[in-house]
Amino acid sequence: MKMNNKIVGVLFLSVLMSCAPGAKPKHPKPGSESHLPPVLSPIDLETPERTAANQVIAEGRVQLEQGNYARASDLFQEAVTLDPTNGAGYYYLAAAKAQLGETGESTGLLEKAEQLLASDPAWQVQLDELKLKLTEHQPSPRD
Amino acid sequence: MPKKKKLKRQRRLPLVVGAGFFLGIFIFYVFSLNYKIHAKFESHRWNLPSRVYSDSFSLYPGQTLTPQQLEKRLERLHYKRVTGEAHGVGEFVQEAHEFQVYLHDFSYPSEEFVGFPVRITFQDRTIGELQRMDHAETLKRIKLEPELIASIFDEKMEDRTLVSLSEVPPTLIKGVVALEDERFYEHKGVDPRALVRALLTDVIHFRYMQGGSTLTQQLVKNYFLHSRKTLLRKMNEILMALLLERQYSKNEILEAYFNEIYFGQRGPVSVTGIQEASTLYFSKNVSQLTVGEAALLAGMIRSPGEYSPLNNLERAYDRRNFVLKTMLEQDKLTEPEYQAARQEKIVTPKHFEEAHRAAFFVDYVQQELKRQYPPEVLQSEGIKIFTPLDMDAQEAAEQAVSSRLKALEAGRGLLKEQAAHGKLLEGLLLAIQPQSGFIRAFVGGRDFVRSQFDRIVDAHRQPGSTFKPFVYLTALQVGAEAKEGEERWTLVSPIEDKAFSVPGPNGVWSPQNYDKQEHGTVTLRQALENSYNLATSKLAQQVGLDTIVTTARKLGIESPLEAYPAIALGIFEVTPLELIRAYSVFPNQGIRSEPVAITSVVTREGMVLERKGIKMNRAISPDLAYLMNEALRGVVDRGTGAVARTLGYTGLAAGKTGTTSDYRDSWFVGYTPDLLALSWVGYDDGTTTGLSGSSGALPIWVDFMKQTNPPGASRVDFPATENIVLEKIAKSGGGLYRDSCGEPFEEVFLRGTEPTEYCTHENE
Repeated sequence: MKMNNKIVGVLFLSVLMSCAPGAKPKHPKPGSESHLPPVLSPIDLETPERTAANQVIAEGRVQLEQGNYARASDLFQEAVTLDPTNGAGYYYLAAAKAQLGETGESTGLLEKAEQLLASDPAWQVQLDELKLKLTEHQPSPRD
Repeated sequence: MPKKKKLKRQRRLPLVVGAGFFLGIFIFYVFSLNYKIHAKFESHRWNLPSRVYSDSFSLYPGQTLTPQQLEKRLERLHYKRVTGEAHGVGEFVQEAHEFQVYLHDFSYPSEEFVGFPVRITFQDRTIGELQRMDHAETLKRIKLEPELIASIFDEKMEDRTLVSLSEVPPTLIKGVVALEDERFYEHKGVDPRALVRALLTDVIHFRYMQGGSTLTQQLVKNYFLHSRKTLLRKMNEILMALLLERQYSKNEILEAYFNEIYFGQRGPVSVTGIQEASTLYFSKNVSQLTVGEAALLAGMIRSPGEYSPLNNLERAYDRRNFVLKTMLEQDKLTEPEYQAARQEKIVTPKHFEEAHRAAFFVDYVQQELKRQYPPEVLQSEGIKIFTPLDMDAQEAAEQAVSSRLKALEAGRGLLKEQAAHGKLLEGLLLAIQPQSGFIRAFVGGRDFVRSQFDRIVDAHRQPGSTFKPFVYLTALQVGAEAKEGEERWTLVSPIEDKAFSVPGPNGVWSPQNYDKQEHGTVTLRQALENSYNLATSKLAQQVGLDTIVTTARKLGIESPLEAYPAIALGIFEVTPLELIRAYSVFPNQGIRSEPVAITSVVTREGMVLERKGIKMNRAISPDLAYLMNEALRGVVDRGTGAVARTLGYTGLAAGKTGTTSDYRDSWFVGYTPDLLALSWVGYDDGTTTGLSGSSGALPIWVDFMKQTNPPGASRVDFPATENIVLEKIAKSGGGLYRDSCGEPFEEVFLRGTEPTEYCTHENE
């Protein structure tokens, strides 16, 4: 049973990793009107914090792929602490937490990720997919 | 003849019986000593203090950081300042715009980090480049290890980190053996030659000079016995040393010796064991010691205080050179090794007064851990507790609370008088990262030594006007969900700031404004920015008191609340911790973050016992959060919080002041997109202070924010949503602005709630 869960988990992650956009996706700016307040879109940020956080996310994705969920989770947490508007960081943190069996925390994080990434259609697909997978599979805690 | 023999035998009998009796007692005594050795040595040998760590600190190109800030952090982490090049672990070189840092090793909860040398260049007030010096590689990020905030000791207050003998450099072992017990590998626990030599020396000098103790005897004395010089202790020491050597190998004894030995004091704490000594005196792991450093530590065992390089560097050099010479004479060093070690400079890290660092926070962490890890476990198991505390922010918070309270007491008659009678004003500051809930600074009171009462967690105080945003949020939510014909509350909706009375639980309730004035018809924004009590109470009546309670609960207020009219003015007591949690929804776009004090708990072997990560859930829509951010920005820019601007805080900020009846409590809860901080000033017993939110708590917040979140530090604004629209409104009378309507101003609205009609008040 545990083995089955592991296989499902790995398959699920490989699908996620192959489909999910990179930590810094290119996308059109969300629809805006000229009279809206001049605010920055969190996805488009090009700040030193974003660059550093994306580097941490890249390291975390490697760990996630290798099944080191705890290490990956620590790295993604570090990334969102460094750059709290990094939607990709929250997305991957939610994915790692789900693998660790922390589905409650994962759901909250996914909500935050959605808030920051929803304006990007590519990300939205991935967010929906992760949400669906979360409800379909309840992986057992490991690592 | 047989009679004589019999008589002789009869005479001897008492002697034999007596000897047998004493032999029996002796054997029993030896067995009891053996049992003592076995029981103590086989089980839990030492109580190891648990350690509480701060967050690590990332460095990356483009980061806003001054060389001074980096220098301060390196010194707090006990990096050693050297000149030329940072060759060894834990060393740093500081030049005008460049640092070389040889990073320490560190065991993170899920990573064993091995230090390497890095070059950090600065461009003005930012980091320019990070370069790994041993690989000539440009890096995108490095981490400085977490700072040790506190150790949780038992009553003995011994700081100790265990090492295995394989980690101890051979030179150190040789040095200790050469100096303390030359024949260690030859004797069986006691060295008769050394004992006789010591005895002769004592007799010649007619006083106790040498004990002739072997390493095993020293271990027995320190570990099982006491240091008082008595004959009985000496006898026990010899017996136990012999017994110990019968049962344990030389290496086991040596390892225990290195972990047991005393290496001096750090304030009230005893520094014990070779690893702790390496950390204290050289800021490195024992395995990383140089020959010279190892020789000095070996030499310090005899008298740690006397030979400590922190106390007397010259004496430390003499002692080290004496040890090196002894080792050379005993062929434990070659001539080139000896010469090289003699040339080494003794460099120690800077040491600070470390008592009670972040004491309220450490206390809170212990309270949080109490259920799963009782005090006796924390005091003995060497658990590592990782927290998100930022020590720069913590220092800034402690400084802000302390200096502002002193200034208030020095400058205000009432407070001065109270202070003169020994009644000191109290204050607190709590700061969290709103998106993660990570606690960055935690000052639960003015002075932990004087009062350990944690006002952040345990004080239930009326929040006063800091509760008002929940009333306005409720109104905006009601407005957003309004059906045809219902009030569509927006920030420009008019509300009456006029005296009124309503029945309350204790009779008729008639609110009053702070300035005892009425302000007529005002907008919701004006009422919130100026903290009008009459308008807010009226609004509460209109949106529904039950609805306000529901909103507050959604935001995380757990203390008792009743749907009474005065709820709008914050009469129900809350703790600062729940108040800050409730405010986190505004900068976090409607998502509530749970404050996090502990991120991981790890055994001393590195096994993660638990992870306590980010916990969040949606409380309100991001649209409403944005409207509240805009309204609370106005409080700081124009309203009751504008003192922040007067005091020189020019960065983007939103927040709310709070003052309770009779000036018992002075509050400010304010935030930037990156940092949320709450400050409070008052007396524990609720005596009046005469301070409003802006004169008491706000200056503490400003001082703290200037240090930790200076203008420009936040690179993002509060993010708007697609449902937000900005409209030009006529200042007088409202409605969409047109040229003939006097002065305009811009206001934010939820799409669909913005005015659709133009102003009616024409210019004369």
